[in-house]
Amino acid sequence: MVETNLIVRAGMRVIVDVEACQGHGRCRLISPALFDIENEKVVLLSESVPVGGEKSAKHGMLSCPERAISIVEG
Amino acid sequence: MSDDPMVARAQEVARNLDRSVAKFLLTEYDDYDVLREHLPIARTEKGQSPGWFLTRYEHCVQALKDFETFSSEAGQVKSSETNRRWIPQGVDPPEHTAYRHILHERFTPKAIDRMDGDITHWVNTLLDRFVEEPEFEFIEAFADPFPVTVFCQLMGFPTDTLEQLVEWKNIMLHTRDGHPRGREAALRVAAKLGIDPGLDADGVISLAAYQQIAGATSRALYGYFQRLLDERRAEPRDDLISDLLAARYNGERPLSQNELEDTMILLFFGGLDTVSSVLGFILRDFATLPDKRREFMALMDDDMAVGDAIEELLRLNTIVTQPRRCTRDMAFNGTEFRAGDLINISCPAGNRDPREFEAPAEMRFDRSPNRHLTFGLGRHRCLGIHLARRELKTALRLFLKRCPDFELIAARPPIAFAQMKGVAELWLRRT
Repeated sequence: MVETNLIVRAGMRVIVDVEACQGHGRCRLISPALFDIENEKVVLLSESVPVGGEKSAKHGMLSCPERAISIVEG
Repeated sequence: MSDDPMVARAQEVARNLDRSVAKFLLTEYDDYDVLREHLPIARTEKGQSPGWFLTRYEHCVQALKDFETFSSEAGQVKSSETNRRWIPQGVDPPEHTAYRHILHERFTPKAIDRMDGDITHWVNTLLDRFVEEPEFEFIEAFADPFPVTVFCQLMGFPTDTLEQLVEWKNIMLHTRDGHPRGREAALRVAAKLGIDPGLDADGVISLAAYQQIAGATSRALYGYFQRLLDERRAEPRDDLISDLLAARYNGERPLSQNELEDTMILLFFGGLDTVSSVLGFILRDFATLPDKRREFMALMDDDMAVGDAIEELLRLNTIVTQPRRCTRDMAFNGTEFRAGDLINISCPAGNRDPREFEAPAEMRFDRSPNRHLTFGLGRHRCLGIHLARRELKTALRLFLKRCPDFELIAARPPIAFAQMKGVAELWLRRT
């Protein structure tokens, strides 16, 4: 799986597909510095992966049951 | 009949698949494995919802997300007594979206955070009553009353009706599925109504008798809702019933009496049964898998690790198979569906698909990714997702702290029930 092999570095851009998001909140539990939930939808607290948050950002992305999160080169 | 022996075997599994009888649980996951590999879109005829049966993860995802083709409204098995739908579960978008909007405020992660202290208090209060005993029955002592207590608080139901609510729930959902207390409570209602329960050779109450019993119980339950609605109309409080009364559908009009009651009944069934069932299955596993129990205990105070561990327990103990009805003739991954076909989306089977989950039968507390289907996907994602997670986390942490070592009691084996499956009796002995 391509996304599991993705190497996430600080500064990479986090993109959320708000249409696809259904507010499961897995991302918020895993990476509360990056994701919040409002009105059953994800809210990005930062547009890029923070230093030290690489691992949890990737874990949050991979955990989304709706596959609504992607992380790309800034 | 297929020439391929494995396909023929899968066809036999599909023919005999009856999720409504308790013995189904003995071979459930083996049956799903056979179907998933050899007949992933199977035709089933037995049980309460004959129709197509999906066992592959990707197929389940596809059907859950496509709410226009796979209707929840038409897929709902309505009670013969009232022929009324459950809101919002049995309603399609855009109506669904409007109802959901009214409800979601009480179920946000932040709203659940505010309930945390109360949830901890109720867990400890219930544990105080039995957890020091050398032997106890976990379901009646804890797994049933705990979610009901939380639910009563959230809704604004008086907690002194808790036992009555559990009994109504068990009659409505568990009269004919192998749940002893459900059956006994239904027999009491039958006796009161002067109905012949029509027991079969296995002691199962007849469908005809159940319909009368469920009808009477349903009238009692709706009557209870109506009394509470009247009370809150006269004197609103800080609870969900008062919210429903104050709500405006699409910002335009208040909910009708039927809409209010149909929402309350959905929350009642959604809130009372599933957490209880999952807790029963988890503790049954922890009683027989002490290494897994200790592994969980070693990580349960780490908020991040326990979150992942609970998702894994939810993946392995999925209760709900989602019913939908196909709204048009279509080809679905090589199979022709006709408009009107009932589609059973087996989230329990999809959650053990090796295409999505490596070594799916293994309990891996750090599994990643773990995009399980336990709460559904798409627009109908379980409203109570954040509450359910919090209830499980708090209950497991506090129970295991006070009762770290336990086992099953050979003379009193666990009793599980089918359909909306769960554990009805779980005797445990401290060791």
